[in-house]
Amino acid sequence: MSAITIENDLVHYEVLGRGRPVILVHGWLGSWRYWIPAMQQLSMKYRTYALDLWGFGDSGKDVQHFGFASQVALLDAFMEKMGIAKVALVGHGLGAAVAIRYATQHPDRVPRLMVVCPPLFRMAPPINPLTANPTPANQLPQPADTPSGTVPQMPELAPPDVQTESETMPVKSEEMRKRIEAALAARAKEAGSAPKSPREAATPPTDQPATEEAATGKTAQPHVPALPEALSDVPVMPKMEFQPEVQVQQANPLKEHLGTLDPLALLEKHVEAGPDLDKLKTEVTKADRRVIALSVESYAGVDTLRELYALPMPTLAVHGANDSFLPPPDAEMSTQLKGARPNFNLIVFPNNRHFPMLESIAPFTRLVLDFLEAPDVSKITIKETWERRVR
Amino acid sequence: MAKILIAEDERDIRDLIEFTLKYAGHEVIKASNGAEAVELAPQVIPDLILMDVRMPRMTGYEACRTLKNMDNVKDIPIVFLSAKGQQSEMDTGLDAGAYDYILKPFAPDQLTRRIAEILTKFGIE
Repeated sequence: MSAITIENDLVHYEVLGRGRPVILVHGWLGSWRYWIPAMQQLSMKYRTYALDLWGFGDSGKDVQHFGFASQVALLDAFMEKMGIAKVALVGHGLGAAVAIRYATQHPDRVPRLMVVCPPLFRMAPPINPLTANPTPANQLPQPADTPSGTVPQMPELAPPDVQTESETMPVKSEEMRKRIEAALAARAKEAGSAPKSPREAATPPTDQPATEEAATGKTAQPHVPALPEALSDVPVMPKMEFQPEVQVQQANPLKEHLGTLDPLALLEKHVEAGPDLDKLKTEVTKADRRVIALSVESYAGVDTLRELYALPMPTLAVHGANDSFLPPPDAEMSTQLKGARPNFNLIVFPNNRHFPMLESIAPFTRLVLDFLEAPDVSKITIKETWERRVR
Repeated sequence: MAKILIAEDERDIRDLIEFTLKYAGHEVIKASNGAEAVELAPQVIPDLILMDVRMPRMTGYEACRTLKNMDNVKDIPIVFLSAKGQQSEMDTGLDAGAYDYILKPFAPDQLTRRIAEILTKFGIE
């Protein structure tokens, strides 16, 4: 176990192999550990780092670091401490959003970017790739970071098409909604219970703690997918020692989509029962119970999709077709993403959910290797068979 | 979980084995050649020794024979890492007193499974 000190707190990481550096950043449900198979395979050619973000795994549990911007700052500080000038980033879920934001801020330091199950939600009317005018990194909307802080106003230089409230409401296409419902229905069937209707399932529990909607007096209109009956009584928010004081409402489609922010409830809702679930449960239990809620809360106003459109480096986005936690983009979004920029690829693992690196170890790892080496990432595809050579 | 001594001269492979076994729950002690393994084994008394065949200073065969003549470690199972297709290497290793061999190249999860099987046979949890 290796650790460094950042911001007077411990950051746990593991490193394996020699060669050009690759940093693997985990997501909301887990820790560095689910990168182990990928690290084992990549280590023959690359120096692979996997770190625990603030609040996760064995890294520090100071609640002041749990916000989205702090996680991005952690990645920056980690690279500085490790003496890494440039790195290929591979991020999953939260780690993907962190990697995208980091690459937006430091495009010269990220020659390649791979994002696995990134949170892609429309925050505004569909972007026309031909006219997309990305916001400069120094003018990006800053998410609420410190839990005791307030969500800042959107900066004046935000794109002009996100001005009205109706336009900033998250958009979930019919196709995406149906796909999520189908995935959750399948999940519920496996769990032995039939899902409720979307209307019933979308009704929040009565013991829901105060949320920003309640604080602002606005009525939330979440596009919450159907919850399996067995999980319908899961609290929407875990009990926290404090609640962020939210003065300005910013769109947070991720929060609305997830419904609950309770770590174990999320895990059981979105991950198939089996050995992977058991392993992930151990890691999720290790995480601070507040970190998911606070990082999702502080994600308000972050437009990962728009940032992804604007990145200049070769980028590969990977999704699980049946991922109900962070669903793959719909056809329209996919087409726009692919058409918006060169050297970009979007690959969907057909039978996977939220953890392709565990559900399809060999093809996923092969894909990462291809991504790291391909001159044009738009040409790479999933390859089913692969054998690693040690010598 | 078990205490495993690995003797492997190639750093990348040694690190990979260490990483793999460590996160499978084992305690790992590393040696970079046969002589170092012979020196370390009586000190740490591992449950299992995993050893490459071709190493500088002392080969795996020589180290195996030496260890099998040392009272306090002679019963520790030794498993060789042997390159695929080298049947003569396997035979020589088994003649030297090794319990088993694992072929290179190996997938990390296969290594973990084989080690677990061998430990179970020896009643080591």
